[in-house]
Amino acid sequence: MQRGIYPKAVTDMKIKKILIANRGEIAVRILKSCRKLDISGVVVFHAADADSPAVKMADETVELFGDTPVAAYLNIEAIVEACKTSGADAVHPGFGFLAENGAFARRLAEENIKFIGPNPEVIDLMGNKISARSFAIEHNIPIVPSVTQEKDTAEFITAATSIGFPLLLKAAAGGGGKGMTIVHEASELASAIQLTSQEAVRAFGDGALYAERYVEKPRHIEVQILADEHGHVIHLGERECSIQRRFQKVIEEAPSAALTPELRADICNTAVSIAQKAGYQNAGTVEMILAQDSSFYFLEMNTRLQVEHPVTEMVTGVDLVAEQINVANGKKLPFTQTDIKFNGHAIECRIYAEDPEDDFAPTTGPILLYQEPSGDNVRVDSGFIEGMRVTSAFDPMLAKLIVHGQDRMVAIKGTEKALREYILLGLKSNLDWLQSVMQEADFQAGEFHTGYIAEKAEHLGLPPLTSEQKLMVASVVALQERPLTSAEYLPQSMHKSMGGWQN
Amino acid sequence: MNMIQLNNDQIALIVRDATQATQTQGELIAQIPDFKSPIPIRWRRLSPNTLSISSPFGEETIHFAEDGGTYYLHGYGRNFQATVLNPLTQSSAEGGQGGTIAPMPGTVVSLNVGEGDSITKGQLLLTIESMKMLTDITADRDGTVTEVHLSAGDTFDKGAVLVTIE
Repeated sequence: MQRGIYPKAVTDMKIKKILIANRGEIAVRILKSCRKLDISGVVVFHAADADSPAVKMADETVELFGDTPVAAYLNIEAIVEACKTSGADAVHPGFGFLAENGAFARRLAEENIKFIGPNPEVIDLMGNKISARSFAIEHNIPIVPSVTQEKDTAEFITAATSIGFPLLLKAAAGGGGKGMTIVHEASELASAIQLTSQEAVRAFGDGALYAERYVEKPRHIEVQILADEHGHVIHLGERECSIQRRFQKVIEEAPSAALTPELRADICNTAVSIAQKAGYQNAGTVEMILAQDSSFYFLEMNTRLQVEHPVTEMVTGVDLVAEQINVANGKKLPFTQTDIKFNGHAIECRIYAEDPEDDFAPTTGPILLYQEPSGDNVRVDSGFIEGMRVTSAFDPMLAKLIVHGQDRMVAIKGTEKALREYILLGLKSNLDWLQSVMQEADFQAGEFHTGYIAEKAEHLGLPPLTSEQKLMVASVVALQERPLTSAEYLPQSMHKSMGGWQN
Repeated sequence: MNMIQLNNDQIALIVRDATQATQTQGELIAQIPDFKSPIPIRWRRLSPNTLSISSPFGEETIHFAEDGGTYYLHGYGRNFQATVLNPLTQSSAEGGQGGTIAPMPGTVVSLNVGEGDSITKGQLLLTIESMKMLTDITADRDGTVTEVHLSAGDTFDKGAVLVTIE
């Protein structure tokens, strides 16, 4: 679905042919924008993906080889070679694989091939957590406040107290949760420092501590940035991605239910200023942690398109991939900040090959039957087709379901309906589990944080089967097992029950 | 009689054709322990992988596919995974020595064979009552009855060996 201000005609394209250094649903997604802009799309692929829709849809394909399928997509020289043989003049890296690899962007530049993303220096700056943190401090960008213990414990207590409570005391040499203490009040601090320091000596042979503000029940808020090569930086609003398992996002939405208009403006403007100060170009995302007291902190900047970009596209009507190509072509952004209008609410569910009842362990198997839900407000980005096999070679994400509604509740109900209609047979997926999240009261109320899935584990999942479901579905199974339902095992008394059956 | 593992439930299902089925439609009567009496069901095949199935409860479209003995089904807006457990026709393999195994708990109503009897495939061995229904258990092959493990009126659990055939 496309709506709103896009597209303004993008003309005078210098880029004629884009090589997509990726696979799966995002390769298909990028191809769609190439089609729209009348640009040829070259898809590189490993043999494991030979039957994938991206390969079928591509204008040209180049096979990659590697010790593993993933290694093939990480082979910089092979991809450069594929650009040369196919004559591609630009590369779209998608996300994952080489999308945030400064060396790859540099290598392409050497060959005069346009990397569709920011310049390599910004990729390196934001790709390293330490340099990104130093950059934030240098530019007065809010980060989770912290102090390191100097020799004088009294000074450390004063400095730590100034951060505010609750505090997290950590062994400076630590890791793995050892030597960590949460301190809720100033009165507890001195003794906590002493105990944690002793623990740190025992665990790491070093009693030095580090104190940072402990953000309880944080929410993950991120801001979509779009910047051209002429100094224009705008935001396309925020996304909330607090529904995570194992630090991986599962459900994302735009806008966030947690923000007031004032807080939204504050967070979005902060993100724009971070991108400006970094000299950012192309599409990028500033990730923030939002605390319960509405304070927020810079976490990191992702220098690429995000998996969850469709929710932003749904509420703004902007085709982010087309704009990335536009920017890479040296064009100015076709709109200003005030041109961006936000319409309704969008929710994305990541459809994973996994078993929510088994701690979300990945599943594999053939796609025996596949039917996507459809509708005006429903978008499915998927990278597989019926007959393909889901293996453990790649990430377990199969597809993304994105649903738009005039408000959040309409989007939730629309998502639930689309999940009910989504048919994916041949392996276990998280489709039913996602439905249960849509039905859950706190999710519906917008009351959640990044610990939601762990906290609600026992309440999520669909209710037990009803008797009617058992009877009907088991009967379908029995019908497929004709030898088992043969006349050998006739129940004698069944004849009696036939009399009252009215058609 | 089938034991079907459906998601987290084990379901004892008795099902039989109520009328002569065709490739595209048929009528059944089916019973599971959840219901006191058998339920009439009609089915229509909408595609190789889709059945429309109706009962007094209503009508539902159920999609299904099978892979390596596991059924994947979709209906009622949710997903099901099913395997057929312990069917009588597999009893000799599972029972090792040719035992006819009870697919569900029940009571022996009558015994039609005794130890030493020669039997032929399809011959009535005994009649059991389960879920308030009588079911005939027949021989799944030719052989000799070497042991009858129960007498009329005895109750048995799921998985019990009823008759040993060699």
